[in-house]
Amino acid sequence: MENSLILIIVLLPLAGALLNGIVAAANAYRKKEIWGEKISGILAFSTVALSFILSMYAVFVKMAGAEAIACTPYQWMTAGGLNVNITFMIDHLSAVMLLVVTGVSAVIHFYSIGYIHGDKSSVRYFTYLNLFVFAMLLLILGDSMPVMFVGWEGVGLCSYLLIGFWYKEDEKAAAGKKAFIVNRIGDFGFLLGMFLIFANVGSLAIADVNEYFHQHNSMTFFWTNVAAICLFIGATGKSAQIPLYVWLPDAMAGPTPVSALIHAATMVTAGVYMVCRFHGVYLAAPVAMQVVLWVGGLTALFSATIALYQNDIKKVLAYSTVSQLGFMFMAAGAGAFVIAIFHLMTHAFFKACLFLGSGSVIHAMGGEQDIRYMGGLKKFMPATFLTFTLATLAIAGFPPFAGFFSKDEILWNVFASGHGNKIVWLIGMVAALCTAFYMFRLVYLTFFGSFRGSRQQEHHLHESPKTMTVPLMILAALSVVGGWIGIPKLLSFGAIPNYFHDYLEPTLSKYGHVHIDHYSHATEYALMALSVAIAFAGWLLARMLFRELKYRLPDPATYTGISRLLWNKYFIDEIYMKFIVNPIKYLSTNIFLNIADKKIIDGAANGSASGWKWVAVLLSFFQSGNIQAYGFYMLFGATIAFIFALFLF
Amino acid sequence: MSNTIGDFILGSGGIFTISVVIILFVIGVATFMFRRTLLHMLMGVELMLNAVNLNLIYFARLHQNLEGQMLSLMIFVVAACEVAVGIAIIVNLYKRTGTIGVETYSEERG
Amino acid sequence: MGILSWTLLIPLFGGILMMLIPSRDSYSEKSSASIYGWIALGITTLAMVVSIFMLINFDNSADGYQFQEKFEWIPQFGLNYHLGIDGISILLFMLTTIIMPFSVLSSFKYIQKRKKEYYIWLLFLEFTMLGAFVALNLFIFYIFWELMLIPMFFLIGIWGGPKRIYATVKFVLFTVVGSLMMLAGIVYLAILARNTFGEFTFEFEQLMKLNIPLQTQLWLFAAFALAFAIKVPMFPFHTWLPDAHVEAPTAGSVILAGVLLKMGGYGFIRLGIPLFGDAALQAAPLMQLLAVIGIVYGACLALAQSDLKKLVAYSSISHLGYVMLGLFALTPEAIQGSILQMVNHGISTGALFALVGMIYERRHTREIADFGGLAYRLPLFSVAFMIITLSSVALPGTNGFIGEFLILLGSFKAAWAQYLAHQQVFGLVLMVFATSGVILGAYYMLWMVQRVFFGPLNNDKNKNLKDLSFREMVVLIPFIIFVFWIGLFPKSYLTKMEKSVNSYVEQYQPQELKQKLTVPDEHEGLAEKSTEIIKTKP
Repeated sequence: MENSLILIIVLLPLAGALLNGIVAAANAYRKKEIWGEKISGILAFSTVALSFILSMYAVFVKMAGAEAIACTPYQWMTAGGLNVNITFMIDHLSAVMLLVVTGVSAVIHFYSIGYIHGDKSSVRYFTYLNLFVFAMLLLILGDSMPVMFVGWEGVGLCSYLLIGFWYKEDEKAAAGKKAFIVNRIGDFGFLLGMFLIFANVGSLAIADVNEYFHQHNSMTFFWTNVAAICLFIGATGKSAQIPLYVWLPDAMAGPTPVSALIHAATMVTAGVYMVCRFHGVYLAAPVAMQVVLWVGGLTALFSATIALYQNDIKKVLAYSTVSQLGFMFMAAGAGAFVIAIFHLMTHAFFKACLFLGSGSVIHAMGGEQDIRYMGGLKKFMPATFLTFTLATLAIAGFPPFAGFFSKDEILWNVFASGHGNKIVWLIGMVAALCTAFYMFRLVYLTFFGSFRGSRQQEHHLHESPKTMTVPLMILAALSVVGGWIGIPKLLSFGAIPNYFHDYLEPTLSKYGHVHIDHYSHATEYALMALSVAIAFAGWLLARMLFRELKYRLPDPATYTGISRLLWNKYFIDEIYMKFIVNPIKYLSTNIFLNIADKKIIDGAANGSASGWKWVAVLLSFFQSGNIQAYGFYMLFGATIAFIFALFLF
Repeated sequence: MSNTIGDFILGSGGIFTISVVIILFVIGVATFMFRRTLLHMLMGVELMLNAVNLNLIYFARLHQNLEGQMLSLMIFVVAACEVAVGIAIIVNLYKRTGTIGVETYSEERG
Repeated sequence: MGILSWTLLIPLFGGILMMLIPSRDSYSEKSSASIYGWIALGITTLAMVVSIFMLINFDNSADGYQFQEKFEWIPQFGLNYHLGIDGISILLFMLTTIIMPFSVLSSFKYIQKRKKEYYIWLLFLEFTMLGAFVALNLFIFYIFWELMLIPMFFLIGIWGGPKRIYATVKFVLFTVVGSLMMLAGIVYLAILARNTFGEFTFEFEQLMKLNIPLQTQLWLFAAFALAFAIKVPMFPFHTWLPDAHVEAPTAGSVILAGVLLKMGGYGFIRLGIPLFGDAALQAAPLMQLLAVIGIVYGACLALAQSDLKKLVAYSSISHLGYVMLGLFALTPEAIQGSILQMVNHGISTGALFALVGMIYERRHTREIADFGGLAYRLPLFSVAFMIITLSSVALPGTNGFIGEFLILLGSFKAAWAQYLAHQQVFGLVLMVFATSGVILGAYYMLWMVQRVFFGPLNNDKNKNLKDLSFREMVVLIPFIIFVFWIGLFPKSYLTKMEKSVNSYVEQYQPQELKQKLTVPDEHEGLAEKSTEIIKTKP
């Protein structure tokens, strides 16, 4: 088998997961530890790190100059016209994803060793975490839709297990379940799209599908768009877009490194990756592109506004993630797939850093997540403060931090691309303003001013151990410099090549280019300046309001009007509960079970049984027990028979 | 046409014999239906059997063969057995309950 | 005597042999396993080994029946003892022989009274089930089909739960109503055969050559379909199933879900469609509609249950809805998926019933509300339960996914061809509802898992439960192995039936579907192109 290196990259985390899993099971069976958190943590970290190193080797050495390398371990299923191979392929798109995923995962695994220290179930934790990396690798390296789908649902499973990791608390288990089911709704769309594509293309290999839509498309305009939208429904589930974003904020119930890895850096970006993977399909489906653009834009604004009023440090970051994913979809919808992936990458760096930073804060606060009871942490945990601030600058879009380049390019593409839209651009600008505001609100409330928590907490405050701060520093550094590989030519005046763009462009424009309207350079500079100005505006506003917070933040219960609406997240959860979940439960219990099943169907069966019983009761009146009555019946019958015989024959 | 009594009895279209048979049979049926003791009912059954026997013999004579007579001989045997068993049962019932009234025995009511 | 007969007769003679052992301990023995359990285990294992030998000798590439055996029984009426196996039945046959030893093993502790009889009935049940899968003579098939009821009747009626009498009578009455219709149909078919060929015959292959007018076909199909639909069970003939499952002893449930329910689907694929091809095609939309109603309805009802076993029973209805959907799509993907899904359902639902039985042995309750937080006390049990749950919700990588995916894919393909041919969206709408089953499936299973295994461990009675014993692990591990084996390497299973299914589809697929399903020439180069792209190397 050629390129078995890829196979090793994929299987290493699985091996780690299996080993840790077996040990966890054996620990449980023998009621004594074979090995504890330390070895399992190191094992988990080293498999992922090794996988990262091998990925680097594969991408930079083996793949140098080539378009793609692939490896096919075996044939998965064949039935009729369906033929699915387990094939792992690294092309330029999946190479970027591969490096981001394994790299960030390795960092977060390292962080986890410090974070999970002292938890009894740490072996289980590392099992799940490694399994997640394996599933994620399947997702990004899978060469055909079913293999991708294995990873797609696999990451969903790991997300479910990790959100509900502390399953003894009911809300956490419920949050995990919610994540899985909402994701399943998305998968339902993905499956339908897959079926529709298979019925027409006759193959599920990604290259075949893109090629078909690019050149041989014999589907009508309507069905082409339906197929693309079905796939996008899958993406909205996984990447937490309207209307399926509701699971992500709840998913913050999981351990914080999990939030950083799964619910910020890697898994939730799978939808964006998928849309880019199928750019051949989307370019053939303009309506679907518009849907992607609008859903992305609306989600970006919608969740950014919710984030304005949240007081839970992780909830703010969660809504921020939803919003940033919206930005990525805006880029994809505008046809700027390269930029979408670019933002995906930079977002992975700074959002992972933010989450890990928040984890460090929560660790120091002894589990407290409410920013109303924080403040002034700057002097207690300088490393966390510094890295958190750098990442905030990046997400807010200050030049020259990573987020600036990617976000600015997204807005520019939405503005200028043939698929773009000026209204969505405006929405994006407002969302960017909100982003800067709520992020700096978070920073000021957490790290500035005076401490507002209890004495006990203040006494306990400390900087986190090295295992936790070193990953923070790595990620903060990446948040600063990560964007420099994709500096637009316009800014550097052509002096620095736009490495990122040059690397991805051939892969992502294989199935057609998107027309970019012509604007003067002056316009472009002006827009760039505007987006920087917006970042500053958000910062200044937050500084004005929250720099030196002398008063307690109001109790959310007293909110009225818009603030009440935002604090309650537009009541979306309640609406879903009332109009979807409860009706289904009501229908199942009261109508299907109690009426249809018990009354109608069983009623018919039991009714026919008891009907015969009544017939029997009726007939048994003749069975009087009196011999002479029987004699009479006999005589009567004989007479009838006699008359019958006499007159009819 | 002959002129013996036997011919008279069996001749003239057999009106006489058939009448006897029918009367005998109806008496049997009525006995079975309306007498309330098992012994009487058994006797009613026997009467019916005898009516049938008579019938068989008459037709055997009419057809000039022996099949009917053979059959009636067989019925004698069966009837004898039946009476023996029947009376035995009745006697036992009487011993058990002190009555042979038919109303007593209605366990088979549905 | 061929190998098929041997596999069949081992449990039969084993059962007779067990009858001859004098009964020592019928009513009072406290030990968890008695000699009868071990004997039954030995016999079923022997049958399994023999059937595995057969599997090894099975020729994947051959078309038609293999290992055929034919003896004349009543030649005047065309009744022959005729057995044979092909790609369609072999997986189900193997499922039966493999599931039996484990269901025997799972009843060691559960069965405490009248052990000898219990195992004898189990062995007879195996004999009849195996017979039904390999019979090639309609009359023999019918005999096995009906004989199957008797052991099950006693298994539920004697060793069942408190409402066992009601459940077992309901089970038998439902099934018999259908079977009698089928018997009438069989007699009619035989008379038709005499009118056509000049002599009575019950051979499948002969009967399939009959040329029956459509109107007659529809009536006959209705008679057969009723029998099979009740057995599957399809909506609205399903209400016997939850009752029977809830009352049956663990092994009874495992076998009922694992094998007996497959009889209906097998009947459709072996008899319903081939004998009455035109009628089946006419009825296909109706059957698919009922199947999809079953999927959604079963899932909704599972959602509403408060009893673990009932929940699993209703989930069976939902899963078997997929099977029926796939069978009547008549595309090779869907039919292969359906057969595989029958096996999958046998594995995952069988294992679920075994698991529920294990928890019942510990707590003597199955109410979901009585549990909560079990994952903390029973880690291994929870892991096993979780894996089987995931297989049941068709997570990719487990067996459930392969089956459901192939069924939905193949059915969608047929619906799409139907749409292209007639511009009917009926099939596509059905597919949307069928696919929505994956959401509901996840909902009821995971909600149940959450209520049973997660959350705080509040109930004091749950605090001292013991985790899996060695015997229980022996029962569960094979199931788990199959879950992943089929999920990750389904090819060896699919190739077993590929040849048979392909020729089957070739024969019975409607003409228009065939035309619409052939991919136009211009796309045929695609597969090669994509591999070319992949193979670009430095």
